[in-house]
Amino acid sequence: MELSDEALCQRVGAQRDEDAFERLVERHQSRAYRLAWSILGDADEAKDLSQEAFLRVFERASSFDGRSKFSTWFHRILVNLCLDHRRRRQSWLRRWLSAEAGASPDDVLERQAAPSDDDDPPARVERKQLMAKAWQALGRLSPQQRAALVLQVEEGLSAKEIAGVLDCSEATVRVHLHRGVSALRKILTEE
Amino acid sequence: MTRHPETELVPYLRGELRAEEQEAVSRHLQECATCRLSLEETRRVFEALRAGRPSPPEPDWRRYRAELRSKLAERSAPRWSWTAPRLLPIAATAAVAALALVLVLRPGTAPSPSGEDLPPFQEVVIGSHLDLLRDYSVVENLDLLEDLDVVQDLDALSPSSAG
Repeated sequence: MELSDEALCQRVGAQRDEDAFERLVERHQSRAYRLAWSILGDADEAKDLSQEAFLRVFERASSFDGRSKFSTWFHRILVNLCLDHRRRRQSWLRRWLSAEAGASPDDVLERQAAPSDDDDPPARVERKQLMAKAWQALGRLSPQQRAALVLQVEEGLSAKEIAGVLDCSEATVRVHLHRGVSALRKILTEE
Repeated sequence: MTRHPETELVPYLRGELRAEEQEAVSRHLQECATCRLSLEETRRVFEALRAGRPSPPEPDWRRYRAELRSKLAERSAPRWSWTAPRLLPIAATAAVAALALVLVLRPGTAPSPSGEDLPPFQEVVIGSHLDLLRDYSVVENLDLLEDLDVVQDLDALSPSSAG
């Protein structure tokens, strides 16, 4: 029978079990990388930060008490790393808006928004452009607002679960979400 | 509900409110056109975000995990060890220097201005700064050098004749 994330984490903590650690990494690597990318907007940084989060899991697994879900605990480590990194690096918006080749969400969005030969209906083009604008606008929010929205959209977390990740009250998360959405609405209607 | 339930709109859309809160927001929405518009725009924002979710470039996961294992090994390795061979000379030098400093600064053991009658340990410390002592085999065989005639006549050599 497959061990749960929580059981694997406890093995890592108690026995420094590298196989259990590897299993946890395999299970969460994709979501961790994607979440970090959504917050940071850079593929290399997302890779480094998600790996750093796994390293912290290995180092701190013995402090995981199993009262919360492993995913909540892990997301907290990862999101805090990303937010700290963002605070240190203030050029994210510039990167987000720049059109360097390769790995930025902007490039992906531009490719996704670009109409193909089959995309004749103007409404469809407009819809795709709106999607692209929404994700671009996300980069202009405060780190907390962005993290709350990304956790809700990417991970499907509830306000209560986001509160557990961001280590704040559910009411604060609701405020972050409300302000984030309001800012996005404003940006989308102005542009 | 008299106030506009602004912060409840997102959890309302997701059905996360308690039953009585959900009901209160529904009642307010029936009466308030402003909040109905806000709700509709909020719904559009979430739809746009969900539908337009960009995909990051996919890493090579095998390589990703190999890098992670390497970082873990690096992080787990002791950063400093007495047994690390390359650190031994540094540690030994530091220990000798610290001991020498203690002995030199100890009251009553200051070296005489003439440099004569130095305690044996100070001789070793001073000697360690001489280039000659770096090649210890030369020092050990110094008595053999003294047997050579040229060494005995060194004082008699002038700089011009030495060239």
